[in-house]
Amino acid sequence: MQTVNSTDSVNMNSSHQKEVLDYAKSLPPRFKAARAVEEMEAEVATRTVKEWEQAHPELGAVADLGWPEAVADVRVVLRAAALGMLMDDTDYAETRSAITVRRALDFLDVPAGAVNDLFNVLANTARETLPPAAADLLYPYLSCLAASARPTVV
Amino acid sequence: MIASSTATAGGNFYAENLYCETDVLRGVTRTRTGVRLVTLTTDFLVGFRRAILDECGPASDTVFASCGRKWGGFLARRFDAETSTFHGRSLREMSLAKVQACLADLFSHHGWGNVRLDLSRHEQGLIAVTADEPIFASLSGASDKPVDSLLAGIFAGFFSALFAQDLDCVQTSCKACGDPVSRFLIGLTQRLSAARAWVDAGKNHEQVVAELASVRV
Repeated sequence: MQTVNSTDSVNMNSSHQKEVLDYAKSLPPRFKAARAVEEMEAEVATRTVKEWEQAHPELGAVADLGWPEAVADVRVVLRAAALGMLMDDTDYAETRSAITVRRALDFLDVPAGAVNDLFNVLANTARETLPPAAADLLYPYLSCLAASARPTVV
Repeated sequence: MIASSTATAGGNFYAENLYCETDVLRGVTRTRTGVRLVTLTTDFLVGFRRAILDECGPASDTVFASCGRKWGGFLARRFDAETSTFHGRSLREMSLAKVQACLADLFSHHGWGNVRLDLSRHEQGLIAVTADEPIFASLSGASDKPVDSLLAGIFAGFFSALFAQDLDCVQTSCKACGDPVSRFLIGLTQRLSAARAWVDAGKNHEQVVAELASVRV
């Protein structure tokens, strides 16, 4: 998908064509993985928030926000990552959902390290919870969130 | 088709590719709720700013603030309606952190800069806003006084409409003056009435906040 987008009015060479064909072949397992994520979305999100809460007991402000809301936000991020995986777009989950979660946690003065840890925990929990094939496909689209920069306002 | 199913479930309302759509044949760009948008270049904005400064002279800050206040009011009503619809609940039902995140998304995706609210002085009746890369401070070059009166007006109009109270906004630091970020204070007009003079007299953000602590309204 990214190969098609990046060609930008240039004829596709044989290398491009191979990449696109390989991507097309990968779609059935990607759809299967997305289905697995959908089925286990609530479980992964709940486990993620619980584990993150236990790792960061100092985050009282987030508790004030409400853990159910945190779970709902993590579900949206997970769903966006699954869509990113379908489209082979590692930026998708960040721009569609994670940035808003990041800004909300920033408002609550949650340190950048703890925010990144939330996305680390999410990536690892998904890997441990989902069927292996789905977990392997999804992991790159979640693990990149922990490395994303936070908004620049000091 | 796939992406739109995410859009109804929460996340970032302003995410590119979903938020705007351009009908190239008609030459029209609209947001996902049908509001028409146009891209303004640096040249246009510099020209607009210079024209107001030339035509209005000393009154230009008041004109910018007045324009901003009106736009900010419209923006707040649209923000309220769009955010409530997108997230399936009213702003008042949403957590403050989420509202602030949506607000930051609104400003950053429209290119107004990256904004952050500080409500830690709300008992004093003050909201502080920090803005990184605010548009006019980025365009105006070095200045000896704050230049983001348009943005200050937008904040005043925006929060007045959002809180259904007549609020004012004063810029207390500015990137164009060499400060690392631009800062604004929002509060009741009576509370902020002296603050502009303090800024003109050279008081910095912290000093203005400290002075305002003793103001009773």
